Amino acid sequence: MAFNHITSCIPDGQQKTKGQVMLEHGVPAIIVGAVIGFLLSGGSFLAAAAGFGGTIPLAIVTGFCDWWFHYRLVCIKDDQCAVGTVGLILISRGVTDPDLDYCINLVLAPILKDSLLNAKEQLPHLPPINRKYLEFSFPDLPLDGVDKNSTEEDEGGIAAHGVKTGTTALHCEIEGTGMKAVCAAATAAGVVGAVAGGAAGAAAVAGCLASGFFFFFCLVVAAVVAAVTSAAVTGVGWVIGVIIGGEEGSPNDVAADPDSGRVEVGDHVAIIGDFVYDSAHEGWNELHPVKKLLKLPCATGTKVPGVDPEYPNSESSKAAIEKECVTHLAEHGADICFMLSQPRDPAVQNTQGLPSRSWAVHTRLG
Amino acid sequence: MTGVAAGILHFFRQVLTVFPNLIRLLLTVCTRAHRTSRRFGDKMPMDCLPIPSGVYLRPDASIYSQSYLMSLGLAVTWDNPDVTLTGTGGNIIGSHDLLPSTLYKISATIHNRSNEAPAPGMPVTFGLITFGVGGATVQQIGSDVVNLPVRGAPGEPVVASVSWTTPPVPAHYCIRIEAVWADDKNPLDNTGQHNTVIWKVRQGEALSLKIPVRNTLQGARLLTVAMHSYELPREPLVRHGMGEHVHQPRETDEALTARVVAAIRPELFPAPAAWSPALTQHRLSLEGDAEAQLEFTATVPATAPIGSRQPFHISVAEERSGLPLGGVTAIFIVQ
Repeated sequence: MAFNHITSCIPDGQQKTKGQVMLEHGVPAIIVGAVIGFLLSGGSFLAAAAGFGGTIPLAIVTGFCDWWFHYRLVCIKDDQCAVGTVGLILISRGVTDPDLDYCINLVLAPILKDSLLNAKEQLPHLPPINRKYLEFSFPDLPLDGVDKNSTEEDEGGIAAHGVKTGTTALHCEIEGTGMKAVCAAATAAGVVGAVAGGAAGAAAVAGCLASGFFFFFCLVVAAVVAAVTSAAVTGVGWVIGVIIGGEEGSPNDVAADPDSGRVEVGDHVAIIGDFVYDSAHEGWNELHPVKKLLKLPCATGTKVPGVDPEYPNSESSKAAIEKECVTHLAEHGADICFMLSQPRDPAVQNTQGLPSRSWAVHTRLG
Repeated sequence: MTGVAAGILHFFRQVLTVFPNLIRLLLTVCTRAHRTSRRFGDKMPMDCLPIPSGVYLRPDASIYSQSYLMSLGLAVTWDNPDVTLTGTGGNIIGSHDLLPSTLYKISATIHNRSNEAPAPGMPVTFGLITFGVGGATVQQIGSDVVNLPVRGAPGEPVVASVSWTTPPVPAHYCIRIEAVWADDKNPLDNTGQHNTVIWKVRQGEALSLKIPVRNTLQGARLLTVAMHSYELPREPLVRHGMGEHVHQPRETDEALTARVVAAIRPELFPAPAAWSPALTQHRLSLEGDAEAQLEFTATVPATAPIGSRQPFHISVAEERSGLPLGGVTAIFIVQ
């Protein structure tokens, strides 16, 4: 199972807000809806209002999905590498965030996972390979949310009284497939909802006029009833999409694959992914999607400086081992990342294609 | 008709009456959902995370591993082609023939079967075990940390080495090498042994080598002893669908492995009858941790060419399961 890459990033300056894209989808869609309502009714403005209202949820869904997949991530550089400690693992789920993405908040080496340092405090300690993730990439991309990703899931590790409870980390996202199913189902339901909403709006108009209400009031009623009905149908489609999206690409699905791996909080890893800026939140850099992940070993035992030979499992010995490990990772991060990049080198690929390098049992046997 | 109109009118008055409440209810639901969403950031924390197989990298460090190769059904040599044991002058030494209090250098070549996953900072440990089959670990000689790149990259295979001074008490030893990677794709071929006896012999000389055999498995086991004179192939088998065979479909790992196994079956390499090789026992029944002495005898043929080299590989496995226990390679150089 290769990595999912459903979203795409766009060059700096071309990113759009959710509202912008929804508006871009909404204006033509509701005009089309109104025109269809007008034509189908033989020229009724009230039916046009129903068509207008009924199309709004569809426009919202298509606009949101287009923004989600194509306009929220700003490209910085593909296939970048970071080295550090897994600080927090999160998974998106449920109706409000159904994309089934799963994220690793990576504390960049040599920062200790429990140091509670924010981005500003970390920068002087980071080697170049890791520093860029906590720095500005483009002047127009503010990093207001850089400290929102941390080792604590709530509010970027800031407690109620402003006390820092988490260490700032690099957000690394493994894409799920949930949003694809949700958008497909919600769009289909949006179309059905537009029709149902238009019909409901038209029925409402009939009742409204029969009640002797003012024409313009009935115009509003037609649009609102159509929009609410359509939204309800579209919402049902969204929920169906969440259910359809189900387990495909989810952690449970992945875990069933015997070749899958597993990381835990505290593991030391190198991650390769596309370096992007996520404009959907307060603004932060991230690796999205994660393309490769390698767990890294750390030296243990009494030879590690600071380890008490008599109490190698004491808290102070463990702390010494951890400090030595992240320091080592920072010092060798560039080498590790270079080794991870070698499979993309055409010369290496050519060598791997040689018969002599394609052994299955042992290089001397074949 | 008037009644229907009155009914519709009544319905819409009811709807309009409850409409503000409906809006209020919707707002409440949305607000609560938003609060919940903000509280948990739409994401749930987990302790561990499964990573898809295409994303998660597993290096596949590999050394000539007799136990792995025997488990596939291959004939093996205990003169490990990935290990060299040299004296201070760079001369190759048999592990059986080490002198006490002498400095030696042991080097092990580690390969990577993975095209995608390197193993940066991989420790390679060198251990000393008592000579024979199933010898106990006497001591850790040392370890070397190496960067093992992906297959075919510059620096792969990588050589790990340690310098080591033998203990002052004379003894016969075997060497065990392990490439340590906790998450290796195939950990079975991470451990190799180098158990060699290299003797210079004369034509007509009667040879005798005592080989201790220890049952390292739990409980009483029936062990079988096999002997052959396998030589490593000059050229490895080449995967079909590559190089000269590019017109054929690319051969799978399983198919290539099956061809290798078929070509290197122990019965294809019988020990030369001219040397009259013999073992005192071909089957051993041993309790757990119990040890027995096996004796190999042979006579150097009078016609054996001077300068020729004759290997005998003696391997022991559990009879029922075929589980390899170990072995020794004796190499006789006719002078």
